[in-house]
Amino acid sequence: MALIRFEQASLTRNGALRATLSELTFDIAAGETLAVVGGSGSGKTTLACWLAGWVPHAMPATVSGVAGIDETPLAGQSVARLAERVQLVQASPYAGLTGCAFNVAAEVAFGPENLGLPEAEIRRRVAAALELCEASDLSARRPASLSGGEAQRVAMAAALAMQPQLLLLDEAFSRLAPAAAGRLLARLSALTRNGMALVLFEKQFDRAARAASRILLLDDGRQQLLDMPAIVFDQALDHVRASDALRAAQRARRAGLWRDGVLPPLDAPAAPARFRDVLRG
Amino acid sequence: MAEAVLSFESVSFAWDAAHPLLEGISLAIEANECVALVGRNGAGKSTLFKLACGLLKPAHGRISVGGLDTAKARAPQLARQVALMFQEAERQICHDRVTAEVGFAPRLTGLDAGEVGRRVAQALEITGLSDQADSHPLDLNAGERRLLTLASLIAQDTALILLDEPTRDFDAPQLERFEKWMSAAQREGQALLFISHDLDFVARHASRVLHLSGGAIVANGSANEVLRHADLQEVAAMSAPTLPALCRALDLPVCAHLDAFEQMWRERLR
Repeated sequence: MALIRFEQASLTRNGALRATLSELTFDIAAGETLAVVGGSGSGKTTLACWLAGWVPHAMPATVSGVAGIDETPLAGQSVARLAERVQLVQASPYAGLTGCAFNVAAEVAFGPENLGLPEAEIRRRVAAALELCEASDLSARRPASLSGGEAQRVAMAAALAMQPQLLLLDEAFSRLAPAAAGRLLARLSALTRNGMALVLFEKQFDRAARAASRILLLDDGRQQLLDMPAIVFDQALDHVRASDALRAAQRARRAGLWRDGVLPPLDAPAAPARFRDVLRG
Repeated sequence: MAEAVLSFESVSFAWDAAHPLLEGISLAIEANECVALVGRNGAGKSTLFKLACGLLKPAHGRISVGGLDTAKARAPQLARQVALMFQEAERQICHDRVTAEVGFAPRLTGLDAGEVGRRVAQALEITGLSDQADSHPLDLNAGERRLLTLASLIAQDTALILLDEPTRDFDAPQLERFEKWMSAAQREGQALLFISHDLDFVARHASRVLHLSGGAIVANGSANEVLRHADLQEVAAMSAPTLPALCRALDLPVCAHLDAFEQMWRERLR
């Protein structure tokens, strides 16, 4: 059974003249990684907030169709209860910090403390989450003194310490150095093998394609495609960012400089082999 | 040699005296240059930018911008020489209308209303925000908000522009627009210094790359030399920038631009 199920789901923000998201139909199973990609203003963040249970309290809007978690509608759920199962890391890491913790360890402990967990369990979770995010050496720092990339690691650790069933990452790697982003994404993928579902909201195609089995392409609030990364490739690159190696492949395919039957590369390291396949014929 | 628009002479800075963040940094940026600053998270890149525009003062050493010593010059003087795009667009936006935001710096320099209006209109044209002139900045999407901060820098019209991770919020069409502006600004003689983790973007634009690590500039050279450092690479399987790496893998002449690559690939297939 799907953890998340959307069917003909639409959302219109209060005061807006037309729907922000129209007729979305997709599901997410436990342990699955889905990437939602699209350009600026395509509706990714609105969808992330909807999945996090912000509608209608934190995001006043009317919804229609089916949008549920474990067959219960998302809208109207208690945010505090939903936070036990769903965690959202937003694009601006500062939005994920409480502002009332004196150091990073206390910041990450905030969620587990509110679950009323035993102290030893809280300490264990905080240490594990900070280590996974390569933020252990930040634990005594004041949250306000963190750089953009450091704050992003801490916001991610705070979400992971809740051990969510569904982790929503809204451009949550944007401030990380590439090496750190790659390592962190690999570790999150390992967590999905234990059943955590992961949704990446991305403007960067390489990252989305590396981690996700399916990609949902949003444009102007509409679901353009929902398919495997190789199928979505050409259309998605018109909207989102990609490494130059992938961009070169897309241009070659457009210009008729490709061969039928050779799939596009999904990340830069795969590109040389694909181009060679075209040469070989 | 052209005179430097920005120079650091043995500059040190510490948030906490026991752990200096930057130590003995010396560098110079000249007009027409487009220089990238790269390094790991927490290396001090954004702090170096705040020193460069005078928002922070060095603990030791001297920083000069357009001939002004940042430790002594007043903010209005510095603002005529250098502009900074903050890492977070929301942290520099301070007006409730797009036109008021873009006109902020020109108004403060005492230009008359006609000239302010002309500069604002031009900046909005370049950034593609003319239709949003009356919008509230926070009603724009993230990419447009970033373009708004760019419009403010264009209207400020300084010899040196500092861009802290400028491309992060852009989708593909917005990035194309931004890169077009970058090339034009450089042609007009403005000096650009930018921080970026997108090594393909760095390779496309930077005439020189500085690598900041452990409080010091550990490398200063072309993108192809500097970016190979393991600290900067995402995957060991293929070094970034990815287009030169692809060229090498296919035994094609190394290039950093897609038009050139497409041409070579077309010939290779013949």
